[in-house]
Amino acid sequence: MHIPNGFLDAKTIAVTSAASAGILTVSLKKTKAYLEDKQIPLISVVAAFVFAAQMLNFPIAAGTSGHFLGAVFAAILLGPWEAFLVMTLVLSIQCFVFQDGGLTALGANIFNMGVVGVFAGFLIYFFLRRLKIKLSISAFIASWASVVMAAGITALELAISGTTPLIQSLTAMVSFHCLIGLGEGFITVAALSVIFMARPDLLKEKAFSKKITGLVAGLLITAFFAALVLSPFASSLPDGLEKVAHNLGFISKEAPSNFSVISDYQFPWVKNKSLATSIAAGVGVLAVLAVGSGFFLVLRGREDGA
Amino acid sequence: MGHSYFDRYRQVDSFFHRLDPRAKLLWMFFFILVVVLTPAQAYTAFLLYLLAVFVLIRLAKIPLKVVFKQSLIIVAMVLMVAFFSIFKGSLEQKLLLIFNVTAKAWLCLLASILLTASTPFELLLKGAQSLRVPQVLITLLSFTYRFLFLISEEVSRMQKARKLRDFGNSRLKHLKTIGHIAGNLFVRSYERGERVYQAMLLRAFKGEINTYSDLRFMQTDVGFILITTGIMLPIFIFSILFTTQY
Repeated sequence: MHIPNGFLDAKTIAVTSAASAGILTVSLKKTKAYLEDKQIPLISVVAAFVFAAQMLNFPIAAGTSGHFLGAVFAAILLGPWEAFLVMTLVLSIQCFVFQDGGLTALGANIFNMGVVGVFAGFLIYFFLRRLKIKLSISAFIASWASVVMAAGITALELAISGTTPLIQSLTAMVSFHCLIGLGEGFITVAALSVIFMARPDLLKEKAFSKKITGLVAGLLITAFFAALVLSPFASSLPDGLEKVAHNLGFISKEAPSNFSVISDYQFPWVKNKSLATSIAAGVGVLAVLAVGSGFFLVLRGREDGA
Repeated sequence: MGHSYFDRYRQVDSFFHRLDPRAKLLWMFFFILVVVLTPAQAYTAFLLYLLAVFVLIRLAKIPLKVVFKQSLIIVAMVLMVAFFSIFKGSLEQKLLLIFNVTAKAWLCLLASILLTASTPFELLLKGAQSLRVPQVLITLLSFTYRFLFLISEEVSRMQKARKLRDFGNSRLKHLKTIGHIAGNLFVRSYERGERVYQAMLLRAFKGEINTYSDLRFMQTDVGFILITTGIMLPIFIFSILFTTQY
């Protein structure tokens, strides 16, 4: 799921990097109290744990295998902001030392597995727990969903960049990760059961529940994600059908290549639907960025005032 | 996959190894940005970039074979794009798309392999620190890097133990075992973190590591930046100006 360099175009790189950097700033602020308690080795050692645990492969259907992601697992044990930091550390080291995931795609990878994987996953866990659903079931559903959502957003970014066709890649990625997610869910629950026996003190509910600001952040991110997934999906469905028609032999060479840096839509009547989708997605993302930075400013203002 | 494996070529003495880590970091950022933003049809430009990286790899005295072998990790992703391109555009477009992705990913990979193979991670962090990356992140990264190989080794040991004892199980039971390994590993790691924290507290750790920075930006570093930029930038600009974008 780590996107290499060159798979994303300029606009996707810019948006995802900005979003990840913004949320990283907030999370550094949020965990400052924790970090100033000089718990740095603890966060780091958990990051090293997530990195190592990602080496745990498990077989899925047809000879392929998936591996443990650990985003929701870390969020349940440490709290979402700390878990986001952990995922950022893991992904940065994977990028810089092991060349797993490209530098220009680092923002996107942090967004997919950190922001979506941790926050959206944890939000689901949090709501299920509020509904008095058992910890193991909540953890299972949340970690399954985190993997599926991270895969969905990855497919979406690749499609927006023009690297893969939207419908096919989204379908393939999401359905494949529905299977991987089951593995993730089982592993998370089994791992939590060990911790429940060995260190039950680590399993107390995290501070997220007390802080409404954190909840709002999670909601925003989930809404952003939902909008991003649903809107281009809905509007490009006819486009997908068009593509099938194209594949069947009506394919026209004049279809613009949308993987150059700045796509020139010379034939707007051919592709105007995907253009409209791109513009809509861009506007939506900008709007979310505006809301996000506004939220950040309010948060900062409140902390300064307090 | 221990620490020594990654540090094999970091002690080689070459012009590239002696460069200031900041110069190398800036070079890599610039190189990757330029490669990613070059239009797909600019075949000559990609060839020239490849040549530039080759020259640097030779100058850094790192065996080409090693770099190539390490760069094979992109194969899976490229195959994925190739598979999905079945659904997309004419043959010409498909080939261009696959070329675009492969060339860019591979070139960037070569550049970053060159950087990490020739620069110790601590030096990279020191460089990043003086390029104004927040201090907390630097400290966190350096700690994570320290624990990384230790805990990975622990995972390998546990995996070995599992393989010796756990066979012929159903898939679900297998997942359960892996989950127990992960849980155990977490508790061990967490407790190690607690112990390390207490030990550091006793040694007056105040949340920051202060090291004496002996990095110096020399004339060779300035020259290196100027020369590489002077080579890359014209190629990039020409590629944008003289490539017909569809």
